[in-house]
Amino acid sequence: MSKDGKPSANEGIKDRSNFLRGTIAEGLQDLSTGGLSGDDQQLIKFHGSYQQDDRDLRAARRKHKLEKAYSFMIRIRVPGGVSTPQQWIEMDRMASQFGNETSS
Amino acid sequence: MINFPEHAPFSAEERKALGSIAAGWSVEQRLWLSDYLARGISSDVMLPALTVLYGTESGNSEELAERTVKLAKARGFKARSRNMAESTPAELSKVENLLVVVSTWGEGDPPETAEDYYQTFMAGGLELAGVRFSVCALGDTSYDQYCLIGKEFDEQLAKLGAERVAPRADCDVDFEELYVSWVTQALDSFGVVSVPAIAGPGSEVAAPAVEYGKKNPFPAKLLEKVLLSAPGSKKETWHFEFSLEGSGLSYDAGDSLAVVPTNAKEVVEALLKVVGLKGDEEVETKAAGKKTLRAALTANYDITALSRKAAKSWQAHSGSQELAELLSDDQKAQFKEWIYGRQIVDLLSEFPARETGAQELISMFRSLPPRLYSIASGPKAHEGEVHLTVAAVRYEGHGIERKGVASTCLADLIEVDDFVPVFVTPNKRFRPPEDDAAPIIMVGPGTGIAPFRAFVEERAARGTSGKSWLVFGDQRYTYDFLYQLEWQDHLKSGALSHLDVAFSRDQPEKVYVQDRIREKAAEMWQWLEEGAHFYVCGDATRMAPDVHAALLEVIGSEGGRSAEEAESFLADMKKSGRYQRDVY
Repeated sequence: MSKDGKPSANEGIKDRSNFLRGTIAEGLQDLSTGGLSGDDQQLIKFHGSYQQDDRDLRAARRKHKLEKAYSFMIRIRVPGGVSTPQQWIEMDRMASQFGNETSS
Repeated sequence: MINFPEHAPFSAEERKALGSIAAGWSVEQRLWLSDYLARGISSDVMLPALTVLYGTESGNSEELAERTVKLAKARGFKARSRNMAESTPAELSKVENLLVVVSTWGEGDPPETAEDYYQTFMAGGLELAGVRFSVCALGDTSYDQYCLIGKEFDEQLAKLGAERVAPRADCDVDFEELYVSWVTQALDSFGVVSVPAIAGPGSEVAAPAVEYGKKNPFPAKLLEKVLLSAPGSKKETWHFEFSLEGSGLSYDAGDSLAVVPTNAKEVVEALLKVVGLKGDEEVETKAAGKKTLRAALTANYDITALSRKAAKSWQAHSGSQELAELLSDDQKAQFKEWIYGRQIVDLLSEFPARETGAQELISMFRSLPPRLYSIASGPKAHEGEVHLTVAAVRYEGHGIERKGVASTCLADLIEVDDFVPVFVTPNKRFRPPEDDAAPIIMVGPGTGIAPFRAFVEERAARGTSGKSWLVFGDQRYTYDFLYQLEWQDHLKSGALSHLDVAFSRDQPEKVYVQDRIREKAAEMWQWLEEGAHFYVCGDATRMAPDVHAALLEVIGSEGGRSAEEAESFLADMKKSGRYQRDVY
C-alpha cells in the first residue's frame, strides 16, 4: 500500500471485520447455501481457505433451480514443504471424509 | 311432459300442471326445488332421517357422502352428512338409518382424520339395536388390506346390534359404477318414502360437457418441464408447469392434481406378446366405446398393478392349478411374497392360459386409475397455472426394468406443448392456517416438499405475518436440494423464516428430517407453544411415523409430559387442525 494512496477495498473489509471474524460463523450455520457471501469470501482467505465454484456448471445448475456448485480449497501450512507420511495420510483422510476426495 | 304417478298426493289437474312446468327442468333445478320445499316443512311432518357418515383422506369418501345426501334428499329423506373427524361414535345410538362411506389407506389404515373415531368405535361399548345400516368401503386392490376399514366398520356395526339392510360394497379406485349400484340398493332398502324419486343416481352426476373435472378431465398444456436433480444425483425428480387457462379449474394450496396417465408402449407390447394377441383386434371399452385392443390397453386399463383380485380373475380364465394353489387361503404369505416386485405381465407369462380373446383380456383389468400429486404452486403466485414435483419411479423387479405408470409417463412421454388430462382433487384437511399470524412448521423431504412450495407462495401472496419453518431432506446437498434457489429467495424476502435440511448420504451416518426435529427440540416446542401448525408431507411408510415419533419426543421432553400426555397433546393438535399430514 502506498503511503498517501487510498487504501484498497480489502482494507475496508478487514477494518470492519471484527479482527477477521466477519460473519463466517453465521454463514456456516446458514443451511440454505453451500457458499459464503460478501465480505466473508475475502475474510476466509486469511484463515487458509478459498471459495470457488465450478464455472462450467453455472448455467446448468441455475436451470435445475440449484445454486452454483461451491467448493472450498483448504491450504495447509507445511513448514519447509515437507510432510511426514503420517501427515499425508491424515490429509488424504480429511479430503475423503470432508471434501471431494482430492488433495495435492 | 312429466307424468306424475296417480298415487302422487296431487289432483289430476295439479299433476298435469306440475308435469308441464317441470318437464324442461335440469337435474339441478329439480334437486334445488325439492330441497327448498322440504326445508319449509315443519318438523311434525315425519320424513325419515338418514345419516351419511364418512371418513375421508383424499376427498373421495367425502364427495360420495355428499352425493349420497343429495340423492337421499331427492327421495325425501331428511339426510345429513357427518364427518368422522368432527363427530363421535356415541352419536350413532340416536341414528335410525345410517350409511357409511369410508376409505382404507396404506397397509389397512383408516383415513388420518378418522383415526380417533375409528379407535373409539372399534373399542365397542355401544348399543346399536334399531340402527339400520349399509357400508360403502373405498380402497385400492393393489394393496393387500384392500377395503379393510370398511369391512371392520361393517362387521362392528352388526356386532353392536345394528341391522345390515344392504350388503357392503367394496370399491376399487374406479368406484363409480359400484357406488351407484350400492347407493341405489341401500336407499331402496330403507323403504318407501313420502316423495317419489325424481333423479336417478345416473342422471344426477351428468355434467355439462364444458365442465371439467373428474368425469371430464381437462387437457392441460405443458408449459415447462425442468429436471430438478442435478447430474450426479441418484434420483430423478422433475418440476412440471401446466396451463389451466380456459379450464375453469381452480385450486387452493394443499390440494392435489390428478393426472390421467397412459401406459408406455413397451409395457403394452410386452403384454400383447405374452397373451399372443396382435393389438389391432377391436374391443368394446366401458369408458371410451370401440377401439383397438392396443389403444384400449394404452389409455384405459391398469395393466401393471398386480393384486389378489387380478390374480383371481386370471386364474378363473387360465384354469391354472398352480395359481389356484398360490391363491388358496393358507398361502397368503407366499402370495404376498410372490407379487412383490411383479406386475400383471408376470402373472400372464408365469401362469399362461391356452388362449385369450381380446375382449376377454380387458374384462379382467380394472380401469387405469388417475394418479394424484400434491400441487407445488400457490394459486395466486402462478395464475392460470398448476405445478407438480414428480419423482420418476424406476426399479428392477425379477430381472425386468419396471417403471411407475404416471411418473414415467410424465417424465418420458410428455414434452412442452403436449397435453395431459388433469383434474383437481381438493384436500380440505391440508391447508395453511386461516389465521395469517399463526406460525407454521413444514416437514417435507423429497417430493414431500411440493405442497410447502405452494404454502410459502400462498402465504407470501396473502401477506401473512406468521413465521414459517421448513424442514427438508433428501439424499445429497449438491444434487438433490429441490428448489434451492427459490428457498434462498424466500429466506431473503422473509416469506420463509427458518430452513433446516437433512441430507442422508452426505456423511457416513444417515441423517433424516426427524433427526433435525430432535436436535431443534427446544425451539420446536417453543413454536408449538406459540400456536404453530405442524405439517408433514411425503412417504407414509417410514418417514411419517418417524417424524410422528420425534414430535412426540419433543412434546414429552420439552413440554415435560409423559408418553401418554404427549399422545393426547398431539391428538388434540390433530383435532383442532394444527397437525395435518398429506402422506402417501
